[in-house]
Amino acid sequence: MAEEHEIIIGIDLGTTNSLVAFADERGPTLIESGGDGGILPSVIGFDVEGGGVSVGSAARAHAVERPLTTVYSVKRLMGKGLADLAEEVEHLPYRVTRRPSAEEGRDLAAVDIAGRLFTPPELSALILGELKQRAEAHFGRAIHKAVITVPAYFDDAQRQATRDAGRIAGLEVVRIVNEPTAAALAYGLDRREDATVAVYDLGGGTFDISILRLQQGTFEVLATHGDTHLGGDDFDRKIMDLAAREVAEQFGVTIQAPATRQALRLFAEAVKIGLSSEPRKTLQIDLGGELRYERLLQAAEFERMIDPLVERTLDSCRRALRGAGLGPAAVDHVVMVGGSTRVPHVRRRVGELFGRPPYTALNPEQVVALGAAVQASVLAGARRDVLLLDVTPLSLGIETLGGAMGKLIRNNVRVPCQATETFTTFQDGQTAVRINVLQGERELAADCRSLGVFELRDLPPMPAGMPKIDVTFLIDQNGILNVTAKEQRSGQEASIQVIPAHGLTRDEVRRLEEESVAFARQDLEAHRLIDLRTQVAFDTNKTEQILQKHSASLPPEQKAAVERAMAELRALAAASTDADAIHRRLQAFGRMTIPLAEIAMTATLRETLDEAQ
Amino acid sequence: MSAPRQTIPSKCLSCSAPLESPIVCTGCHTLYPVPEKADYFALLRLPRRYRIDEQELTRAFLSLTRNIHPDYFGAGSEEMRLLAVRLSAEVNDAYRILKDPVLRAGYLLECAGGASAASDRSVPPRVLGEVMEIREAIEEAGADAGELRRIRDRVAGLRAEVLDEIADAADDLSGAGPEDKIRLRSLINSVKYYDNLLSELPGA
Repeated sequence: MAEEHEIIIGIDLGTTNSLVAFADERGPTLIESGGDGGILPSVIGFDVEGGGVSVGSAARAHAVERPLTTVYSVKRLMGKGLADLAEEVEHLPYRVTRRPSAEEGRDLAAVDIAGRLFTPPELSALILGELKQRAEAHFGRAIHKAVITVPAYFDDAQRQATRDAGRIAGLEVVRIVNEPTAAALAYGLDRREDATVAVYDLGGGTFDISILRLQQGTFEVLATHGDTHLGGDDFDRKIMDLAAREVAEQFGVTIQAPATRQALRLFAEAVKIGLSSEPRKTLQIDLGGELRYERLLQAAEFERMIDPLVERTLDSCRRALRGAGLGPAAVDHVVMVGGSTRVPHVRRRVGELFGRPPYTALNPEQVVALGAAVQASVLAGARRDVLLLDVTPLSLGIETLGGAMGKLIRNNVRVPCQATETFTTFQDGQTAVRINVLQGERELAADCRSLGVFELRDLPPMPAGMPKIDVTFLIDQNGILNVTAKEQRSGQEASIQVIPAHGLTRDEVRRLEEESVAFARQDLEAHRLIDLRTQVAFDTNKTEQILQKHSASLPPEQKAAVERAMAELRALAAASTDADAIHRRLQAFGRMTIPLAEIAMTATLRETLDEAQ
Repeated sequence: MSAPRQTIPSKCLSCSAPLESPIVCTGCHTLYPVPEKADYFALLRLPRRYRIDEQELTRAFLSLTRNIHPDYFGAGSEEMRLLAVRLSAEVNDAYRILKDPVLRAGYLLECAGGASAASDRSVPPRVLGEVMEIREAIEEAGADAGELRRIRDRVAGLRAEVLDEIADAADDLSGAGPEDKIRLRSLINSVKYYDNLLSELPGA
């Protein structure tokens, strides 16, 4: 008997676009309900006057007219503080600020929408919520679990923020998978040969390179490197900067109006895309009044502009190869992932580095979501023939006396992994110990990223140096840190209070989750009910038309049965608020009317032929 | 590090099949907590010696991981999932250490009661002499690529020689006396000196 597996969806939560996919025994497919070919622009629009929130194309359509309340590229803000984003914020038309916090040392960025602050996880949760709804519309049932992908080079704070976003959207994130690893999974599934593969993943806002060894269903990451602030957005900015500079030179004006900047951004993006297939494109900007900026941009000039950025990605590739202990020639295939790998100059330079043309046959936008769906099916228990072995992208350590970074776990070590360190007290009667946990490759704590302060509490008061607390730092398969502590003598678990430097505390996430779940339940049911009722009206009207037109070619008892089912379905849809019941009845009705649809089609075909004669 | 304890239940408590691995029943995928201070060789079911077949090590690691990886316990209880994460961390560590010749030798030495790298940093005097001599040679070579390549080859040769000595000394430590262990420690320590030299020399 076939086991009924829980539905776990795979989500690619991208800087520019987000996608949701599902895999069954036939393999992964993109969920395309909701339109846009299954590609949801990662844009959130707030209609402050109307009080509505839109996500996707609808939000993007209003980007120019509502620059202050249209949020895009929120992924670049995940797990970040305002101090990290100084350069970023300059380019964004919406307002980024710091979320007020009682604890010192915390710096969590937030977007100010007409006076209300939204943290990046809350904003990402709106995108995830839309994808969740699309999947629910597709399956006709509630979805509670997801695998979400993140850039391999995401640090702990960025991963935690992604998981928090899922929770706020009402999704348990059962696994966080690195994007290049997910892509390799989708790429390597059909190919059973053993190979060493490099996945070059250049998205809208992030870059990753992972070197993997594929053998017999095992996808083993040997090394990874990247830059979580480098992507196609930066190519657009090069064009924007050029235009802004020349506008200033020619007309002595600076482009400041948020609407103009937003328009310029969309235009720069279009020019970049155009230059992938054409040798030149014209940049035009209406500056109001009689002023009009126009100039021809040659592909070669664009390539010179972006070359330093591409060179940075190649430098990452070299580091990853070194981390894997391999030369470029040892790589059998170079797989290109992410929309920005459509830029010919990127393909050319990557091909030069590895000494072979990169593999571009995969759809670079879809492959990550498809891989996530495959991994989701493993977690659902539907398959066991695939094994992902990933590594931690960054070294983990603690701040030692004197401000050095004491490494406990090195980068490129396979996860899950753990390290234990013993701590003690420095003063008599001290009952708490604070540990600053760091990620990064630099020698000084100040140059590394603080994940937050972990405070061991409620230690029994003893003379200095007497307590011995073993603290275990465990990085799980998601690349997320879990810390536990045990007092050696008593063997008792010590309590740990975590204050994340750039993230939400557990309580904060719980509160946001409760708020949104309360909303979402009502929202979702209402939304689903509206969709279902619309569908019922559409299907029954259609059937009615067919019945009228082709009643002659239908046995009377069948006609009566269809009419009865139709009346019942309409009555149920009008009276009931039980979406599941309506969905079941609608599906049964659909199955029942299949012969009818066939009759209608044959008849139409005959008419067409008659007319043609 | 004290001598590893080797307590392996002989039968699976869940399905009664004989247990082939100390941490998992390969029949029903019931997990068992890893014994404290687990022996990495026992964990991967390999003979406890320095000279091991690397392919066999990788095979053992992958087949064990296929039974214990947390991704296969997605539908299990929270407790089982956490156990799978901890076991995988332990097995990953075992594989990382046994795969690397220098770490493997150090592990065997510490299991046999020898000093850790942190507590004994000594290096054979002849190695210190060589390293000093090579540093001078690098300085004299300046930008002479041919000469630097020759130096590099020499360092790589010395490193390989030391690894051979380590292999002879570490393969079977059952009869090793305190002097033997001190000597092995210093041989292992010396590899780092050669590695540092190699990282300073251009070209790979």
